[in-house]
Amino acid sequence: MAVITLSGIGKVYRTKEIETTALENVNIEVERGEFVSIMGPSGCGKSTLLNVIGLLDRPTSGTVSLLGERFDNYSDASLSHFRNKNLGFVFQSFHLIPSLDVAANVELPLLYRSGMNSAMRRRRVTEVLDRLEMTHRMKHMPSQLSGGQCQRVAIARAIVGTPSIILADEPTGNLDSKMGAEVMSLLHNLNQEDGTTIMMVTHNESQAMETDRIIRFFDGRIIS
Amino acid sequence: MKTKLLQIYYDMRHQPVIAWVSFIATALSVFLIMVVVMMQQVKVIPFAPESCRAHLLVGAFLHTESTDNSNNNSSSGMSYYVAEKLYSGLDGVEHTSYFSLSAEPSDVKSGQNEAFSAKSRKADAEFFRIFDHTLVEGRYYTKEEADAMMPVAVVSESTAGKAFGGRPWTGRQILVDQKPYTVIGVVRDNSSLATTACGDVFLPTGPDDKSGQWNDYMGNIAVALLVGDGVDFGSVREQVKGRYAMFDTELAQHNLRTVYHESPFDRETVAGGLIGSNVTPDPSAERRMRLAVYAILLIVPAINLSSMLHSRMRRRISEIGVRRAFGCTRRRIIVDIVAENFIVTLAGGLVGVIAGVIFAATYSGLYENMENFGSGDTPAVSALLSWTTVLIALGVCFVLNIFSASVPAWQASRLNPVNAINCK
Amino acid sequence: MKRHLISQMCNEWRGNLWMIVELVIVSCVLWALFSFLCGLLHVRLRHSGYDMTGIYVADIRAVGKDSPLYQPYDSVHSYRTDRDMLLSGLRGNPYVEEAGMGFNAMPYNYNYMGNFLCENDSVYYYGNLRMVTPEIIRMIRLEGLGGETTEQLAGMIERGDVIISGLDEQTSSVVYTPEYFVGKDLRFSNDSSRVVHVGAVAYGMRRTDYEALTSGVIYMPLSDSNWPDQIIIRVKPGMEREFAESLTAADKQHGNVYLSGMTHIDRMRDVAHIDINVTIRNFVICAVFLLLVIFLGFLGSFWFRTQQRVVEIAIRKVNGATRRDILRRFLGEGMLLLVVATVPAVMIDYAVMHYNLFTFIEDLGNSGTVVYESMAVTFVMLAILIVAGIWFPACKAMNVDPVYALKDQ
Repeated sequence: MAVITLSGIGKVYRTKEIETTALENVNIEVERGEFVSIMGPSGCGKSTLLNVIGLLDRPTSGTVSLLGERFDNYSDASLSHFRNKNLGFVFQSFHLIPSLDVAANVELPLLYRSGMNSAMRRRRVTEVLDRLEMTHRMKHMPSQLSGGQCQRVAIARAIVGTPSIILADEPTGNLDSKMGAEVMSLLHNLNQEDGTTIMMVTHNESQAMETDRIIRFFDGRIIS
Repeated sequence: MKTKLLQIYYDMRHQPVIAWVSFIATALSVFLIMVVVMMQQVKVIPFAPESCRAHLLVGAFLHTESTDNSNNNSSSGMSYYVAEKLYSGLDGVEHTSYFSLSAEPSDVKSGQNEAFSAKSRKADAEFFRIFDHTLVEGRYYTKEEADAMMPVAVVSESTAGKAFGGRPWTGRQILVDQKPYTVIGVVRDNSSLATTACGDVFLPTGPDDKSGQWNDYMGNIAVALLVGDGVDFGSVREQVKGRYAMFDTELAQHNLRTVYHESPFDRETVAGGLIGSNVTPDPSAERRMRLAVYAILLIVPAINLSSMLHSRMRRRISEIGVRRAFGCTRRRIIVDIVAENFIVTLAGGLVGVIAGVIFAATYSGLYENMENFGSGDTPAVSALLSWTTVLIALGVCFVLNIFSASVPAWQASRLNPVNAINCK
Repeated sequence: MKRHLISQMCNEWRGNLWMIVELVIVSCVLWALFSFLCGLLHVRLRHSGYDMTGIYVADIRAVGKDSPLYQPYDSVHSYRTDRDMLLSGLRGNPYVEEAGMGFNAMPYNYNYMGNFLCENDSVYYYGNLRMVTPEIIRMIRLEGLGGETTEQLAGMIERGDVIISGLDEQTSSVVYTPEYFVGKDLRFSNDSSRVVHVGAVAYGMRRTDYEALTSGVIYMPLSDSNWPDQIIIRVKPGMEREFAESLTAADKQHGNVYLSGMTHIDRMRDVAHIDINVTIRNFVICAVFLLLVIFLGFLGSFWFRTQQRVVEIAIRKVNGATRRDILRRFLGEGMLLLVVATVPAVMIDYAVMHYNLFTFIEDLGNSGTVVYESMAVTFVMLAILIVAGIWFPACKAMNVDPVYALKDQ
């Protein structure tokens, strides 16, 4: 069964004078447990596509359906709840909150979930950090971590809520190749062990080759 | 909660100037508001010897004008006769006392000691049943003694000490303005902030007291009325109004009539100042002024704090984007920012309140008026720190917080998450 | 340069709007406060026409016949002889310049003994009755409005003439100016048998230094039939302490007459002015608070702006801006905000005056220039505090090192 179905997605940005087409008639289906990478030159709409899938941006035309749900009539709050339960985000520049320590950063998605008290949250955070071998850094601030460690924390934050889909926007873009490889093996791990569906935007051909499928983008259109 | 506090701490350390400016502005604003509140509180909250303030009405002054064209317009305190005529035996009033409205400086002397100045007040026996002075020695004078104006006196501890030195004090003679009195009771020293009940020396007064009387109607007598539980002040005032009408029939023979000024007055009115015997006091004007002061003290710093918070938020835009991506709703963003700001406001407010209480409890200049000038009396901290004070302080912080945080929080919640995440 | 400044500020319109709104509110409130304070200052600085330095006042009291201390009089002695002995004793004090008696003769008490003189049934002069002896006129150095000297005025009181005062304001009830009555014989009060001669118009003695005389003052000679309520003493210049120390119990009592509460006039002034002084103090605190808030607001906002604009400043410096240029730009931004805020503020001020929203400003309306003076004072004060608030962040901006700032990006 397809977890992500995009049909006829178009996205046009309008300012006073210019219209920019970011996406044009994009159709994608991603099966459960697939690891898909999206490639293409800068400004071709990869990130916009990821934002549309991540329900952060609404498409101008077409429909998005995730896990069999369509979102045409969803309010902002219901979208938020859906994101919280089912989606995990990993960003190129990590976007950890500088004023929160590692544990609190990882805990973030759980805060917006009802029915979890602080002890349960804490347990879950420790579990995830343990798995990523970051337990010893729990009390550190993001500014005290290396880039690779930051991305590990960001991945921990993305999976702490056990989402079915992880959306990663150039997760290795700010890392050197050794750390990049580490992060990639982590993502592969998650994909294989938990069966998490992953969509990743990348510029790195060899990393893309390791994934199940590559979607190539040019000028807002899929070319292969 | 702990996480939130830590985050606030880190944010503030990151922007020390803005953090300190916000903190100081909050503390200062709360401090000044609390001082204004406490200045007013001291005027109206009950404390010994005026524990009865909530049930107390004070009848004062008589204003008459001519019914012919002789331009005869006079106003002053009342004579005992008029006071009785207008205020005695009203329904719903439990105790009625006749006394002099202000405590006047008098020369007090005993034996060969040098005379010293003390505030003396004339009062009947009921006075001590309405106001809770504390006897430390002897007794109060009785109604019979007061009515007959026996030469007996109730004095304060420090007055007795100054006049006689050591105990016992009762049974000894003092001269008040060169008239001899026997001390029969000694009360604890009282604060001049209790403007109606305070005094160093209390002397009996009765229906035949002519000493403070300018003519049959005018004198220096006022009336204290202790109103029963649940009795409406308005109903007492209605009765007094009726008495005024009755009194007018008596005045008609002199071609005079009364001018009614809404007497008897409640505590707020008395505290607002009884400006003159021929004016109707208007506590609402003072109340309006106070509200304007509160508004200014709140709104101006709130605008400031709001723009500080706006600046702080601009540094946290990408954080807000990330939170939104991970499922935080708009409402939650608003609630979180307002709550976070409330913690900061509360911290500033706490400092402001503590400073305010210390200031209000030590600086007597806040309460100075013509009656207690130079007394240096300040209220007890316990009187200042009532639950109403705490409640008002909390309320002030809350309003300040809502004023200052709502707009930045709303703006933050409307941010597009995509743009927010990518914003540096 | 100027146009750039304005367009850049428009880009930050949201932050600037807040500051303008704040400035408008504060400017209006400060204007109201300063109007009140300036008005009081005007009143305080006007020429009073009498001089109260070195004056002591004591109440004259008598021991009643019901007191055991009462000393019975023989045919020669009386309360009056006791009183006169007391007065002459004080005159003999080496530190005393002059002493005299009066009834309601001193300022700084709120008694108003309203009375009137009338020429006929429709021409009146109303005033606060002050009964004085010639010594009191000399002690307080009373001046005549028509240039009469203190000595001339004292002479009139000695002759038994009354002196009336000028008025601060011509209210509608005053039809005839005080000068109209000079030299006329008038009926005193409702008593048709008492006719007095008005000698001159002099400065009026106010009950407080802030009182406006809307009705007059009648200085009337204290006659033998009037029992005075106070003894008034003027000590020789700078001799206050010596005088106070030289007083003995015998100086304060003679027979059955004694003096109570000998008080320096300054203390009486303090007591009488306490309410107004408290109001002044509260208003000053309010003004200081608002100015402080403005200071803090500008400090905080501009601190933030310099942080935001480090790169911009660096680029300006690279392109040849001097430290002074940077400072001037920041200060210019603050001043521009103040000028923009002053326009609506002044409009609101006018509206407040026009609709008489604050009664105390209405009262001051007659003294004309006060409201404009306080607008100027408000502007200057705000300008000073804004410059102070911006100075610190601007100095930080001046010291931006372009090399470092640009590398950082």
